[in-house]
Amino acid sequence: MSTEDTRRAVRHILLALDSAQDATTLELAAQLAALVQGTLQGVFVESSDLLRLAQLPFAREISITSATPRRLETAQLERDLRAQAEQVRRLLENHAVRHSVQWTFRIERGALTATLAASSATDIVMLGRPGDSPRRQPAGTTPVLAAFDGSEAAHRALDTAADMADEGDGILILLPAAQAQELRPAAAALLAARKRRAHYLVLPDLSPAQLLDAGRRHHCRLLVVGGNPAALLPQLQQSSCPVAVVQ
Amino acid sequence: MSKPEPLAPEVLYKRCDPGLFGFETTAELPDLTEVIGQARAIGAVHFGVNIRREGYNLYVMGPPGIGKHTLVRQFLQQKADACVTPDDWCYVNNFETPHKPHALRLPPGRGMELKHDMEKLVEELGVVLPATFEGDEYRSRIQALEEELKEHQEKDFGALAEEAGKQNVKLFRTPSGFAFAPMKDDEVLGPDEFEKLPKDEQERIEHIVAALQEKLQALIRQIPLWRKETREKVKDLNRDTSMAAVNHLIEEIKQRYTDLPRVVEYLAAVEQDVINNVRNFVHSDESAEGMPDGKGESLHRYQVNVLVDNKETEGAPIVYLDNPTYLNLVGRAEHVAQFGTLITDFTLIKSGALHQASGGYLLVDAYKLLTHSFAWEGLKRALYSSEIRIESLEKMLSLVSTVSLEPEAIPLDVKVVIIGDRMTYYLLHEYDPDFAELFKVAADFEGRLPRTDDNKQIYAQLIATLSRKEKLRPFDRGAVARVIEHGSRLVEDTEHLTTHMRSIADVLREADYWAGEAGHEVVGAVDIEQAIDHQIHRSSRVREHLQDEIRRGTIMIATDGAQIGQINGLSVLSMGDFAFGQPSRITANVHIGEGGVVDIEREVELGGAIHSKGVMILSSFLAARYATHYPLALSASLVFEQNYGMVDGDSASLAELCALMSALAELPVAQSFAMTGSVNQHGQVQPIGGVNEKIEGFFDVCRLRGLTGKQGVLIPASNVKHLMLRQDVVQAVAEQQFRIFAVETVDQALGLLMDAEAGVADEDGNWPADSINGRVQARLSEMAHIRASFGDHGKDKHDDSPPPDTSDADAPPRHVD
Repeated sequence: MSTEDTRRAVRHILLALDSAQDATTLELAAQLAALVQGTLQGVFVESSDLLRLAQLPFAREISITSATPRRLETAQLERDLRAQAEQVRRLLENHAVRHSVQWTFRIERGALTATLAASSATDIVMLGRPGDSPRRQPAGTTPVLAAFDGSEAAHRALDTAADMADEGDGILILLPAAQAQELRPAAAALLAARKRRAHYLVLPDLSPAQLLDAGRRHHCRLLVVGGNPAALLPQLQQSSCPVAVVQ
Repeated sequence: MSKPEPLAPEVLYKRCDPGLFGFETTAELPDLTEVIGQARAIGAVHFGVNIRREGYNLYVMGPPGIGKHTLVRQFLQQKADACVTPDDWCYVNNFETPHKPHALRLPPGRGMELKHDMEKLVEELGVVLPATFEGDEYRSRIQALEEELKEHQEKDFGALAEEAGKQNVKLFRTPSGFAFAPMKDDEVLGPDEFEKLPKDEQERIEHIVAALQEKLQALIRQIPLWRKETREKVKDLNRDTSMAAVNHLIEEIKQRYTDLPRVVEYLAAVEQDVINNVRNFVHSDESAEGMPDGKGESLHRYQVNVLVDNKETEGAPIVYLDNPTYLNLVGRAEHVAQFGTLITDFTLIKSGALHQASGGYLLVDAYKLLTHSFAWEGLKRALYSSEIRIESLEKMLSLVSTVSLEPEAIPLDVKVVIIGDRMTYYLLHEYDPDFAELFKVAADFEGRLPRTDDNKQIYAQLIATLSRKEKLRPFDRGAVARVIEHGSRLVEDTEHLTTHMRSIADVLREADYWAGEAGHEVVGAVDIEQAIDHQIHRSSRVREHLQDEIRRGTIMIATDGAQIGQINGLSVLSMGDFAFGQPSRITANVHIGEGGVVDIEREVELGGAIHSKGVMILSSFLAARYATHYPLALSASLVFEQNYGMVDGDSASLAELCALMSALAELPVAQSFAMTGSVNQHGQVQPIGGVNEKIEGFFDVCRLRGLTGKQGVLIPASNVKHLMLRQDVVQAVAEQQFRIFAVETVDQALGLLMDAEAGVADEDGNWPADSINGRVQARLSEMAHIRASFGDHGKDKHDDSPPPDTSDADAPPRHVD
């Protein structure tokens, strides 16, 4: 595949979130949208499982701050979810305006997996991570990680990584041990055309566990992977850095 | 009784013979190394400076312009050069109690050294610490700690989720916490399905969920503890990281100050503070659990405020405090405005003169010291406690109670020299008991020295020294002689010379100017004369104005003819540093009364106490001399005619007595005479001040009217030694156009004034009937008889009506002493 082919226009970036806690991913998604001049589509997913749970007579919520239990009621839960959705919308708007990108926002009720499965029309999918936000990694000091298995999607992922990495930034290319020898020249050729520096790290394989471990060890700013978001993202949700899956 | 003869011209002015000097000009003379005429004062200064005991500070007193400052400074300089240079003092931060900064003492010059060392240290720390904390090693370790925390949480939550999964229950994240839900076919069990379950199953599920919730609660409660543990670990990491970076830098500085334990102690505190507050050096926009997030705003806490820097000082410092306010004396803590609030810290502490003078000498003017609020109190407190404690005035006066700086007190070892006048010294001694405790040595500068030949030679040397110092032309012998004569005139004493250096120096400078104007290479007597004349001329506007008014008859002074009960008194008017004499008409009226002499000046509160005393002495003299056999049935009034200002002193009492005697004897007084002198109860004439000015004042009036040879002045015989009259007066006397008589008693004066015999009393106290005294006695006897015949009806009626306002605001104070 030629370099020209891989650089097809990225039009849509989907960001799926179920809370407003992952501001880092939100910020990176907006940056990416600005760089590729694409549209940022924000989707807030209201979990249908949670709403069903709230209808159970013994449903209790244990507060994360006080560790005290309280009755989980549907009406209250819906209010809380609406508030979260509004918070996400505002954040998205702020970032989008700041980066001058087009944006949309919608609320879906169901499961994140279903939303991801229905994302085939988008070029890049990112998923909000649960839990507290980790430290922001400043640009120029931490690398962008790109998993490269030679697939078409992997080429696009590498291209996106090159978009996100500044000139001073390094790109750390993760290669599977079995194909490292042959994949490396292809990756190098692509990055040379983009005038980006690259380092290579050979992993036993490119399984989600290996990718999570590499991301943690190298304090990456962003992990870019090519493939099916519905399959990959749920497994990469515990990543120490934001993850972008390029289709 | 014989009448006194006029004084010979020779006694009116004591000349200095230029032939006494063996030089042509002062250029040949060496500089004067000693201080002339001040042996007593210099001895006192020497004693006060050398004695190292508490309270032996000095008060140097003497008239202004005598050269006290210069002399004391010269003396102290000689002494200070041989003294040890005092230590430097610095204020540094007290890291435990910042509002109580520590004072550090360092050998001379090392205060600035420490300041520079600390500045360099902070600069290096500003590079080393950020590099260390932004380095990969530190970041990796921090990341590892965060991952450890995260893993811990994930592990425990994962285990709980797994345990739940085994029981077909799933852990969900809710908007504000967690919840457990029973699952069926990867979906949450719906409420309808739950209802359909058997009661036992429902209870079992509820029981499982409840048990899991309890475990979850316990787990969540652990989270703050894990975070705290992580924070502690990060702190330890920060501490270890900082210590490794800081320790060698501070150790290097410590090595330079091993001889100064307090400095080493301070550096150890700095090290500890840097480690504890490493965030001050590390600029980062990110923060994690306890990670440095420095703002760099507090680095000035490591500054060294060098309060006293004696690097350039050689020997003991001599500090003259020109503006001795409390704050300039003991120092201050200044404030800066920050966000609308005034704040201060140890870097804003400013030294006072006491800090700068410690280990040496502080010179301060008494008047300035006493007129600045709290300065005297502040100085006394510092001297009593032998330490300098900087306190704001507000705090000292308990006006505010906000937290302010309380810098550690600095030990004080200073010799304070207050320079002032005698009156201030006496007042302080009288009214402030602390003064005697703290200023035990008084150095009293003499205003004059004997006019001996030796001292004339020294005076010549002084002129030579001053002329070289001031870059003046040399002075020839005649000029030196004339300066010496002027020195006598300044102290009004033919037997003494002034030690008032400013007056002498002024004459020398001005004479040099006039010599230059005249094209003289060397300053001669004529230049000195011109300088003195110009000095007088510049100040004599009022004198000439008054003389003109006398000439025009506005101020009524008679210089010929004779009048009963009227006489020319003489007074001195002081205009700044210029004084001149002026005649005043004194008149007396007598009538029958109760024996009192009314001093009209006193009655209208224009007469001072001494003047009134003189008038009361007259009453006493009259009573003692004439009223031995009958009561004094006299009422008399005395007045200074055309006087609209204050009059004080008793130098007119002889003239007043003569006017009174003239009125009683009904004998006219020759108006060609003026007179001055005080008189005692026995009729003896006593000396007065300003004799030269008074004679010259009357001479000038007579000269305006035309000298007749009859005109003259009567002065006390005891004032003859004070005569240093102007050359024109001496010349007129020599040409018998003017006369000066020295009288010892009132009778001598009466005889001259009335051209009659005063008479001599017999054994019974009776005077010859045709003598002046006889006529007075007869008149008083007659008045007593008349008074007796009238009885109580003859009492004077006291007039309570206020006197007319004839005051003249422009009239200068008049001294008749």
